Amino acid sequence: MSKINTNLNVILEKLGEMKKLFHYGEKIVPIIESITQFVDETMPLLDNVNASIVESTHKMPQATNQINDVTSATELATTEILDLIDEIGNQVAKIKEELSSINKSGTSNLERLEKLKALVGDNPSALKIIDELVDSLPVYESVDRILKNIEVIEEASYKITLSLQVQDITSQQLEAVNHLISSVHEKLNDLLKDFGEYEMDQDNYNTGLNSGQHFDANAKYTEHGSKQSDIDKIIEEQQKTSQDEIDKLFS
Amino acid sequence: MEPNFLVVDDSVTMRRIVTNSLKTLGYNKFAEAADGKEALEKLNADESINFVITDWNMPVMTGLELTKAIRGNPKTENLPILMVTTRGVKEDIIQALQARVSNYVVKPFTPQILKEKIDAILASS
Repeated sequence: MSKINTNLNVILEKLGEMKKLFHYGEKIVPIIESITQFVDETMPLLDNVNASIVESTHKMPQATNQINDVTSATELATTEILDLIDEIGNQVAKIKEELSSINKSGTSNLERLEKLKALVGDNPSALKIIDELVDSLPVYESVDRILKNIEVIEEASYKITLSLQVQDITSQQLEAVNHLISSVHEKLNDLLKDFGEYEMDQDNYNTGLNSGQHFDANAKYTEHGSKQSDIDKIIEEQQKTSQDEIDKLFS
Repeated sequence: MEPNFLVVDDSVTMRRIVTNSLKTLGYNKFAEAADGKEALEKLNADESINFVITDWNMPVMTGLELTKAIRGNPKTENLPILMVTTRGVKEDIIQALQARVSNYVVKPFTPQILKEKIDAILASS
């Protein structure tokens, strides 16, 4: 009899636990329903995010190609400018040569007229004509002035050439951006591949030069030569250190 | 002996600017290469080249790798090498000096700086 009582007690205990469980279930069910509703509502949003990432990932190669096009265009334009500067240089050199020749013949004619003046002696009319001829000669002063102006043009052309170093520096900056886009593209591609919903579009993507060795991400265009003194100081320090080390070995 | 330069840079613009500067400085002998590998081929093919002006950042083979390759070859180990680059941080300069570049010019440069460095290298070699 007492065994039956014990069993009944256990059954009652278990029933009590089940009751508690049902009671707890009644409380948890609405929460689970809320979570399900939340997930249902979030799914389209996540689909949108996923679609945006896929779309952005597809657009990245296009952005890279556009940057490459900009670099090619600026390089082409810079080459054209350099060609024109070379042409200006060639023409200026010819003009200088011709002016020097005019200057030389002017000097020679002047010398002849000075000799003639000496031969004519005291004839005022003849001397006046000779002086007029001297004045009418292409004067060296103006030739010299033109030559100096030409030097200014040459100097300016050369400065333009030097300023075109900006093309190399900006192309390295653009290449750094390209490298960054390419890295993000690869990461996104890996992420999307994990979801199993995306195949990378490699057709139009130039990743051939992706090592990062062919550009300097920190390249900056500054005033010409302004950084050189700092570089020279570092070189001097390093060379001094090396020499000191050598001296220590021999002391 | 008149210097015969090899100008190494992947940028067509920079090669033109460096060669134009050399012409302005009165030098008339130079060849060009677009990367370190092409430079080594030109050095092998033309023994009259006796001065290398190289960029650092280049595809295929960088200027630093080129410098190490030149210094590692008994035929070219004493060749003057001037590094002309945008890289201006101390670590880079130390790395270049350890690779035994003869001197270092940072872009954008002026012809005076280029002349100064070339003259110094020629005077010491």
